[in-house]
Amino acid sequence: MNIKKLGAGFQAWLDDRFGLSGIAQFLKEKPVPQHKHSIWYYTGSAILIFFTIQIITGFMLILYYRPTLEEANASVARVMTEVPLGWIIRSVHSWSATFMIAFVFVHLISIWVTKSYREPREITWMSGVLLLACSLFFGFTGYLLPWDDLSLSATKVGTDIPRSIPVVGLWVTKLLRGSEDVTGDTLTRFFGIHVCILPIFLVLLLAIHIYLIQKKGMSVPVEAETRGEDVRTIPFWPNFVFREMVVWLVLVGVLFSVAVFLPPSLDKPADLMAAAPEGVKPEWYFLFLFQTLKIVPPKILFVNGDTVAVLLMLVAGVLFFLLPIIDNKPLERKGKIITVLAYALVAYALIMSVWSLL
Amino acid sequence: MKTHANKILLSLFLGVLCFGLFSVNFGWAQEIEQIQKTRPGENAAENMIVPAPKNIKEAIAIYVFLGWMWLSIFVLVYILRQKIKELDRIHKLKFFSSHKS
Repeated sequence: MNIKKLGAGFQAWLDDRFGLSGIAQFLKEKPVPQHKHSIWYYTGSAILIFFTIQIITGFMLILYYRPTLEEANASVARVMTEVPLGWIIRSVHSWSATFMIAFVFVHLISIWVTKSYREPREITWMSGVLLLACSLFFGFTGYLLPWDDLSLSATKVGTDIPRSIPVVGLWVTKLLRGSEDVTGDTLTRFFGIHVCILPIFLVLLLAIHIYLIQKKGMSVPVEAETRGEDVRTIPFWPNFVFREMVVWLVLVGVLFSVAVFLPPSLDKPADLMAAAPEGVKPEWYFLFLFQTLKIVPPKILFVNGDTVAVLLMLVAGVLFFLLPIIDNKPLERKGKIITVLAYALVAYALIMSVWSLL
Repeated sequence: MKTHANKILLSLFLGVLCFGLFSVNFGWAQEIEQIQKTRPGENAAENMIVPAPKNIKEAIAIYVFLGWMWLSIFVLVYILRQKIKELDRIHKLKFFSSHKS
């Protein structure tokens, strides 16, 4: 019996058990529209690539990391100085998180601007916004794990923000910290959330998101859809996947190069009794929120300024989540104003982030 | 005359090579010393750890890997581009033939 026959036999055996030929046929027949906005389709799979790299490097780091007050910083130092190529693994983990969040932002903004969330893709958008929230929370919890001065101070500031919310604020802060202040309990809690709770949520949301994309198909530009024009399509497999592979290869190359030349350093272990170091700043994706809170006056009409700012941010988050329901007439005046709002939000976030760095 | 010039060039080349190797080794020796200083359990509390290759062997391995990776990426991207062109051509042919029938 030759190898080809053996392979075909194994394939038939697998197909009989999993029904793979049905999936293969679906992927071959799935049409991918080709138009001037098609480039944005590639951001979705780029996020998936960075998430996969996160999982692989995360498993490698977890073998050495110890989430206790005494050992957290020392175990990260051990990864960086003693474990063979440990510093690169940590650098790839850190940079892929940055790249992933950047691509999530680009992906959502592109969907907002091209109005791809319109009927019947409202839930796809909502699951995407929840995925953004998950990614940001991943970044926030992961930032504390090296347990150095900067991560401790940034976490103190970050977990203090919900305190301004009336009624439930203090409870949320305590829930995040595990006590009144950031302590070893917070570290253990953040580690548990980072490696157990968030991955479960993210994988579930991702499964729903991908299922909905397969179910409803990829959106076409709103103008073409309204005019009833035929948009040129290509098959998902292999034409589109090969194009995606080109993007993945280049992104993985860029990621590894950045990880080698710009690895993150590790500061001395955090001292719970020490004063916060000067110039404490969160990760880049929280800078615009951080700067917004900084410029808010202490009192706005007899109400605490922070409370007003945090409540406004929460309202903005809810409106962002409900965007497909609010923007139900994308080609009319309201839809155009909402598109302008997307550009204004990007400009605001950029200006605030740069201001925070100055 | 030509042999003399060759000898000068060869000694210059060897000189540059030795100087390069010495300075690289010297640089790495300093980095290794710094890493050893910041080992946990010794005096890690006082210093910030700046990650870097542990020795010259690791450094060369990393840069060779990066070079090889980019070369592989360029070759693979080229092959994929050719494949995509061919697949698109076949797809267009199928599209027009289905329209004719």
